[in-house]
Amino acid sequence: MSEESKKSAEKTANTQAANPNPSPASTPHEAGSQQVIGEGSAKLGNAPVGASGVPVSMQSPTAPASPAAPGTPTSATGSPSAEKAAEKASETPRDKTDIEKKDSATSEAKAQAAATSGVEMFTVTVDGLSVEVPKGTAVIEACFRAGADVPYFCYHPRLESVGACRMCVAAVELEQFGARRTAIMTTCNLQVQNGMVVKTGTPDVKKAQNGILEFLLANHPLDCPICDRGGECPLQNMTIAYGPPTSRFIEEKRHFPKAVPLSDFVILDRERCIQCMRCTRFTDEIAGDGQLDLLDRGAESKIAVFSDTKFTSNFSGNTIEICPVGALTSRTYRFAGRPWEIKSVDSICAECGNGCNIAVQHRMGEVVRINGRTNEDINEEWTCDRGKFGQYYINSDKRLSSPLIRREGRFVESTWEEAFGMIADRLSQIKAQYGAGSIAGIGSTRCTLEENYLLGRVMRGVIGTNHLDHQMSSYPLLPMQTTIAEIENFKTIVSVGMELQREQPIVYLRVYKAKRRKGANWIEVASLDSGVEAILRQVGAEAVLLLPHHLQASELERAFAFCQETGTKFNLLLPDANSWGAPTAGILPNALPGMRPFADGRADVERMWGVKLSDAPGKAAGDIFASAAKGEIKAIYVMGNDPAKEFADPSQARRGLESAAFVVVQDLFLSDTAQFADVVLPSSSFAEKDGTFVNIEGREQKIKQAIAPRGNSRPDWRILADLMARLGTPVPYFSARDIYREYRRASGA
Amino acid sequence: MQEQPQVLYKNRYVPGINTLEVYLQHGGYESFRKALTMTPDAIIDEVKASGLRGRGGAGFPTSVKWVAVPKNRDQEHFLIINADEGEPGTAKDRDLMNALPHLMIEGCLCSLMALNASKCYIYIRGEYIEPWKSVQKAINEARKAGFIGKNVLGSGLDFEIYTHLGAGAYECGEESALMSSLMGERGMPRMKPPYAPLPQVKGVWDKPSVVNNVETVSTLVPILAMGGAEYTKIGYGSPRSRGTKLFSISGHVNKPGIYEIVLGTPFNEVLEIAGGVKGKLKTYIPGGSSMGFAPPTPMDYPFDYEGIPQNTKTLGLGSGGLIVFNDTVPIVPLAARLTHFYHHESCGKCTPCREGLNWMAKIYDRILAGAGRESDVDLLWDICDNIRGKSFCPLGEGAIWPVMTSLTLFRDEYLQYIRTGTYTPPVAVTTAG
Amino acid sequence: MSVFSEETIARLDELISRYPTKKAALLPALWVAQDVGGGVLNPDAMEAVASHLELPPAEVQGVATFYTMYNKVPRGKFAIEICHNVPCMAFGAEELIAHCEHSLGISAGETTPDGHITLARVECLGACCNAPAVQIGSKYYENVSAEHIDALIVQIKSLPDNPDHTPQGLISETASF
Ligand SMILES: Cc1cc2nc3c(=O)[nH]c(=O)nc-3n(C[C@H](O)[C@H](O)[C@H](O)COP(=O)(O)O)c2cc1C
Ligand code: SF4
Ligand code: FES
Repeated sequence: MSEESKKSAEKTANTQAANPNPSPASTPHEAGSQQVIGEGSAKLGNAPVGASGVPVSMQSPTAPASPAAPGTPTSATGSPSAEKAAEKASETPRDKTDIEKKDSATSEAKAQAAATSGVEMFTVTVDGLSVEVPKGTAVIEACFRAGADVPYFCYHPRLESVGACRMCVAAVELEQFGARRTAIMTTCNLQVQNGMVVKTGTPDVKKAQNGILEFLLANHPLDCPICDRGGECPLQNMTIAYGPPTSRFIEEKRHFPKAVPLSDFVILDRERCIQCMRCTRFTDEIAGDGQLDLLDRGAESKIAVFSDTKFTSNFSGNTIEICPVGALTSRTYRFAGRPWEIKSVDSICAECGNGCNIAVQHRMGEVVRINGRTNEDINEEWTCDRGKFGQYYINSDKRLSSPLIRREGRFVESTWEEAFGMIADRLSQIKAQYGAGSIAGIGSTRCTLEENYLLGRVMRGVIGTNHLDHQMSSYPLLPMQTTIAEIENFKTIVSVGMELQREQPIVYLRVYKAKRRKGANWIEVASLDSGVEAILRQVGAEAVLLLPHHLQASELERAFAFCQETGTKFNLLLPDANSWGAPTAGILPNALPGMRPFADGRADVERMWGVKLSDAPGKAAGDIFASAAKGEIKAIYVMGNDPAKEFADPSQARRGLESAAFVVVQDLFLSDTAQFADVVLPSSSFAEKDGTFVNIEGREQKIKQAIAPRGNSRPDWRILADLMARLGTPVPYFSARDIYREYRRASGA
Repeated sequence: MQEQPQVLYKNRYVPGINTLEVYLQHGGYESFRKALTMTPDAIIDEVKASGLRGRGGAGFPTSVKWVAVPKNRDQEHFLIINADEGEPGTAKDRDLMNALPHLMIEGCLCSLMALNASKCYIYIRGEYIEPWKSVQKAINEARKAGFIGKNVLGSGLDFEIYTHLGAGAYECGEESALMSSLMGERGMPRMKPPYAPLPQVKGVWDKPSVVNNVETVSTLVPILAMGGAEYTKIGYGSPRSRGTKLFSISGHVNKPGIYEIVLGTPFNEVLEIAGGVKGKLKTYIPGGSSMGFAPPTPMDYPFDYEGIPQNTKTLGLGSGGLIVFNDTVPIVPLAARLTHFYHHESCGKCTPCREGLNWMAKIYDRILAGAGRESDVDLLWDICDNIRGKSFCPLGEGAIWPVMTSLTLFRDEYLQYIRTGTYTPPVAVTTAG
Repeated sequence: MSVFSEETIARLDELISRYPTKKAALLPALWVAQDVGGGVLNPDAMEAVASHLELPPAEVQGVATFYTMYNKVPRGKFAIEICHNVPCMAFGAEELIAHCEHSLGISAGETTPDGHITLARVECLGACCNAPAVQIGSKYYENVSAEHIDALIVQIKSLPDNPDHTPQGLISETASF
């Protein structure tokens, strides 16, 4: 169609739009046919005949181009014009689902990052508003920047664009082969050009989007009332904003078996699937295992895992989050609540040292779901399945709900009062009889920084012992030399003796990203002896070495020395959520908060705590258990740790615990170590308390209390603070934050 | 009726022409020997002078396509031959591969010279076992004779030609889906300009690649033999449709078959070549089913790249699969059949094609089952309109064209069919010729 | 513990050598797997191909199911495939299919109870000028009439090892080329 005839077609549309009662261009042939009614049809009905760039002669001679042509009885009276409708849409932005908000924030972050890295900037005009975006930006992202609402399904800012759903169309004026033209184009896979003009709400665009939604819904079961995605479903939202109010589809829909379990965590409902390929692209591009793929083709295409296998990927849960419909749902969250009944609290995953940002979501005091939260420096927006599904122990019935005291060999429930009374008495008595050096404390890499700090204060400051440790095996505390995010920039990545996917899931995602997107060479070896030195000697500073904490300390030190020599970055990856927070809190035999040696920190700490610290050298965990076995150590206080199971030599720990006259254990469950205890105190999970975790990079992040402590449990810091008061030291803490402030000062910050 | 010079088919009926021996006796591989002495640019200049346009469907000028390829032998780049012929009504590539495999191989070699490339993959549709064997045999013969392999004919250049067998997917004829399939993926189309760089820059395995039809490269042989300028003088010489093209003429004609016809030959002469219409012409599809149905008049227009769309409102010449229907054929089942075909072949990547065709197929089924509603006619039209221009690749477009053209031309017949459940052919008035 | 013999592995390796990536050999490799699997491509074979080409099995399955000529379920020893696209339709393909359904006692898409013959509808075979067209194994039959197909069925039954007609062995020549 020539430019001119197109203009005139547009003009016709405008005149029609301005006329509240346009004379019918033609009447629909059969009143009985289901018409698209209401506002949707007003937008749709004003599509100018032939304006979609098709020869007018192609149009059916007698039939209207669109069944709801202007002036159809159902839509003529009082329906707002297309223009007004478009205006209205831009005035009152629709409610967006969380995943849409996440997507646009991510694309914004991407643009920001590109802009600050000195990429050439292009000017793009979106609905009359001009914005500056970096070269290489997708048009849809430029639209987000300009505040325009472009609906989409398959686009995801972290996945390669496929342009499959065709929902994100806009009228784009672009230059191609030296000529400028305007066309309805998908915007998710189109890069901006300088001076590009984009219109998102033209009648053609609206008709296209309306049509796409009608197509998508034709075979969709519309079972929103029983669908877990209901209330936070992009398809539902887009349909309300852009879709036809009724369907003209009267045929039988496609049927597939409902609710097929793909694994213990993920359920697939193929009838709801819109084939956007977000999940398959995720497993291919991000997780790298390609466990999901499309089966069959055309209208029969469906998502599947291979043959009879299960979806065993450690990242399967992410597919639930990015699915824009209710096709992939969570078995654990299934029918557990509706989005509007759920409260969401920002927190940090407690399962490993990567420190994924998560949202703990609960309904009426029960944690029902854990979702990923964006942090570009750490997990981007992903989590592993351990983080997403492995934390339901919070709700377990097996959790301890009240303090237990051993009487005549059996645990008997008691009150906190009674338990504290007993602990205070016994500790004071042991201290009086055998000296403070007969008491030892074991902290935990799974408790918060604050809790470990407080344990240190109780042990060193109140009781006066230096026998304090948290390490269940001895590994050197060598900080990572890069951040997690920086790993993706190395040309060579060598990982030793780890199943990275399971042990360090988020580090793995970076490594895979480096390999996939940046062509890095990832070398996985079983041990340091497998030629690692030869490799590093070749690549030197272009490489990063990833090591697990469970290698021999001597090996780790040798590797460290070697890295210093070759310039390779050395990254020791510690296992637990607070692996760095326990030592920095001072839970080491011979270091104070901030890991300061006594010589440095002593004066500060003594002044703050108002006591004199003991001069006796502290014992590490192994020595503590050995001394206990010999009868030199009489009391062991264990917070959130399970040496009877997890110590490098569990039998040594067991012997020590067995021999000690008095053992106190704070834990969620009756652990192996608790079996040796005289008093067991029920503590709260990470979801029930505030605090700080320090991840493998040494990055401090806050966890926040989402639900009230279960039963009679208390956060570990609360327990220690109560005990401290009982032992006669005034307690200045009302919250974890108070402890954190004190920790900062005590560590010399 | 003007004489139809036979260029591609000159030796089509020579017994044994599918063997190297006979092919060589008839001047085989002379064009390739000539090409070996020319620079890539010189070959492309000849092609440009010849006005050759792609014979696979889109009719894009071959020389223009080739110019965009970086012609550096150090940078690996590929020639891919599209022998996935699946467009309903098209049977010419099969015939070329069965009867004249060496012509095609020689054409590949000439094209490789033009592109300064050394590797060629021939993507043959899975059903074409016999043509595949024929081509493989020819490749083996050519390799033995030193036309393929290392240091070909002492030129210092290496040429490799491989066949790659598809496995039943029409969509793999679309060039970007073909590349996906060649790379071992599902045959789904890939992004093209303006969404992504040209395949000539970043194609298969992200390397520069060119996809050409079997007939296109075969035509290179006579072009190089006679020179591009001479080629343009053949027959009607309409300025934008030069030379000859193979047409598979099927349906209601007296002598269906594959004919080499000069572009620009008047349509009625084309019909005459095929023995004239059996019965009364109702409609025809000029170039493979995706082009759509054409009205029976006019008949005397030039049958070529420009003449067809201008005179019939169909998409054009396409792949040269002319299907003729007389008035005994009801249109609705035809359009229904084609809709089912495209529905079956839709790759499923994009919503409009996957869902829209699914829906249309169901509507057609309902109509054929006697439960049609008159409003279905408009509904079909609107579904087509919602697919038009919105699908990812041209399959979606090709799928709706037969429906839209049939609705335009035969609206009344549709309504009659829906009302009565049958088609009554017009009372037979025999027309001579 | 690959399900493939050494000979098959050698064929696969030869195919891989033709392409810049291992993955590119997937379609031919699946042909070989179907061939050695006696005309079917079962999950074990897909998995073996996946491991040989270093691809996720789900991806191999995705590719195998995209293309109609890989048989995920066993077919009869012979497949009579009748084109039903428009040019053939205009020349009685539907009648021909109905005729075969009647004489074989099965519907299109089914296999005779003795597992001998599968009757299938297929899309355009590229033999439009001699419609209707039928493909049996690698062989095309054109201008097929009802009598013609009856004779073919008799022939199939009496010459059960005609390599042109059996799907197995279609591709076995891959290696020799
Ligand atoms: C759905 C679809 C199917 C196609 N099938 C074929 C085909 O079977 N053979 C062919 O040569 N071209 C086919 N084409 C055209 C190719 O995309 C491409 O234009 C052609 O191979 C280019 O070669 P040429 O320039 O030599 O014509 C098809 C296109 C589409 C959209
Ligand atoms: S139009 Fe869409 S679904 Fe159809 S073949 Fe092309 S990409 Fe696939
Ligand atoms: S979001 Fe652009 S095509 Fe799906």
